[in-house]
Amino acid sequence: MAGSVQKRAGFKGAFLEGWEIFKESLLGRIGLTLILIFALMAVASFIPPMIDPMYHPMHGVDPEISFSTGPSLRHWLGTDFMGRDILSQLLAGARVAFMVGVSAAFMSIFLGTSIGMIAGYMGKAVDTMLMRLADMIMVMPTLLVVLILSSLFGQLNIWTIVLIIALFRWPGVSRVIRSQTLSLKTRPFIEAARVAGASHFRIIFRHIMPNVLPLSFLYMTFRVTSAIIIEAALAFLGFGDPGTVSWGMMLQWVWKTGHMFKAPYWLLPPGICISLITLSFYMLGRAMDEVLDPRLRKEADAS
Amino acid sequence: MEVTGEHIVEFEGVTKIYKSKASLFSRSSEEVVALRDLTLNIRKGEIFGLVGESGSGKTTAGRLLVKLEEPTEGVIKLDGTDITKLKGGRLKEFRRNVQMIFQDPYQSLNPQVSIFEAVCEPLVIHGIGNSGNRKEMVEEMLALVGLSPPEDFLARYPHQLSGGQRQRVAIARAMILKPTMVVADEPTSMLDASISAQIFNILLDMRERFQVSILFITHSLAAARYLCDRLGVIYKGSLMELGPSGVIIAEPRHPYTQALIDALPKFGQCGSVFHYGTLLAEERRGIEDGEGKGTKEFCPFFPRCRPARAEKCANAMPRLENLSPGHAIRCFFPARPSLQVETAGSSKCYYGI
Ligand SMILES: Nc1ncnc2c1ncn2[C@@H]1O[C@H](COP(=O)(O)OP(=O)(O)OP(=O)(O)O)[C@@H](O)[C@H]1O
Ligand code: SF4
Ligand SMILES: [Mg+2]
Repeated sequence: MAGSVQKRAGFKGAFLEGWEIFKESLLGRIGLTLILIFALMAVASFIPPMIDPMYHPMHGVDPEISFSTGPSLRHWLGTDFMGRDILSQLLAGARVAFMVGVSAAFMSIFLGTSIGMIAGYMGKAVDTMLMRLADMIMVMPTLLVVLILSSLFGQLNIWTIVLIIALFRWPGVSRVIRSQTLSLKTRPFIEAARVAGASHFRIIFRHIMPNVLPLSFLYMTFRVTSAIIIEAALAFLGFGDPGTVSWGMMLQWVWKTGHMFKAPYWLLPPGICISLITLSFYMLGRAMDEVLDPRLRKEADAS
Repeated sequence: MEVTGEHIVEFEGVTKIYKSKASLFSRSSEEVVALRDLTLNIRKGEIFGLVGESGSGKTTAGRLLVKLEEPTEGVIKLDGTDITKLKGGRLKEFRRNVQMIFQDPYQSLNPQVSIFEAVCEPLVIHGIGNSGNRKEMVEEMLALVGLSPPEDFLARYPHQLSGGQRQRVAIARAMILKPTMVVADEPTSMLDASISAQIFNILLDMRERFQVSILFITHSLAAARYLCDRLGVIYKGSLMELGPSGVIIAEPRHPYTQALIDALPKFGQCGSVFHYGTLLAEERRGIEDGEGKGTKEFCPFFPRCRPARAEKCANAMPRLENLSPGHAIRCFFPARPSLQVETAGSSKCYYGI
């Protein structure tokens, strides 16, 4: 009956309750641990250039080396074709991955959630218009669009890439949030707010948003994954921001300089990192899904 | 408090038709007449009861009055102004004066909003008070609905309260704006009997204290008798009987009202209490799905009415007509009043709520 639906309340209560379930999930624990390791890498990326400018991932060149070398005491993972330290590049890549992944995901979730709530709540023409727009954008392959744009405008800045990813990845989220909003809209507490005289703005952001936000956060983890993959692919294809050292960029250097099959010490680390970081966010998302799912089901039962 | 003769609410020929969208398989869209040509007044300071079985259109009437729906036809007036055309500032003022208490307290409070915020929200929306004195106003109102000490409830969330407590919060939220009109849609149907009685007393107290008029929607005649000054009995969207609640309970004249009285649970020495027996055990067939469906006028109660006479009742819709001042019924063959008076009101027999 209705009573069981109301177990959660307030962000703190919901969070603690969710954490209890999350802790039980092996996937979630592995995912979270990996993410923490990558976060540590990102933070640690500031250290090597401070030790010696030759460890700068972009401009630092070991004066004694002018070709790719394997791991050594001086360069734990070896150097690239012009004598730059691969480990410091790898650490810098973690920073870029987080920056790209989290900011693109955050922006697309923000857009998707707002648009989904507005479409679902307003209904009628607004809904139709926004959802057609979502459909149109959804069928456009993001990677291809960015490729075309960068061949038109030359190399794109990393923030431009982030923005484009965000602009192209909101429709999926907005569809989910919209359908969640549709079911919330007829719930009596929304009608109670209308009777009290609440504005549309207030109803959407005060009453609907707190109830869809957990779902948005879930989708954010999946968006991080896809943003990182898109950026890596772009960089590998040579359309990355030439001013940043991302893992995709490292792979592109390996490829372009013909070290693909000659320097596994150079090829493997960025490759493994890309796979693991996307996997870890995916696992985090799956674990969060488990947390949210029984609740979503309960809500569906009640309505 | 005095019930004055002045009307606060007037329904004038209000009809509400719900159209379900044409589905993939049926081209024609289904129409449900939830309310048919409803005309009634609610007086200032009065508790007006709307009674009827499930699906009779009671909630629809309440939702129309609080402007959660718009009537298909007809006019609804609050204090003499047509509310169907309100916009902007006038609508906001209306929203301040007319509140609703919903049926299900488990659904009418946002699970993510604390009790303080829930009760305070109407004040914020209408810019009443300031951050300093709103807390006081909320606490005062919580105390009035019997949530004491009020400080203990402010920081709680709905899931930490019982159903009865939630309904009290809902009443506090509705009353904090000091509305002139409140719609209470079966506020106790989700609660058990002893809690229901407490909620009724809170409503009576609110009427006394704030001179609020209440449209009390219920399927229980007994609850209506306890609380209401006047009653409207509604069946399949049509108002069947209208009058002072004492009169309607003691001397119902419409076969449908009589059937409702028969259905009341009774306690005490009820052996001699009159049983009207106006409800047919089995529905008459044919009239609703015969030829000319939808166009033919007939009394909506006809399929279940024992005293009905087909030549009249199946061929025309009776009009709502006064039997005596203030007591009206919609029936071609009103039962003789003398028949019931002698037997119905046995003092040792009680109707349960
Ligand atoms: N939004 C809607 N769309 C279509 N039909 C509706 C809608 N709301 C109500 N109805 C129909 O209108 C009729 C009256 O419904 P209403 O909810 O007013 O009845 P009620 O008297 O409140 O019943 P209950 O005692 O079960 O609450 C019913 O037949 C119902 O199916
Ligand atoms: S009009 Fe006829 S069918 Fe309708 S209630 Fe009266 S007697 Fe019954
Ligand atoms: Mg109802």
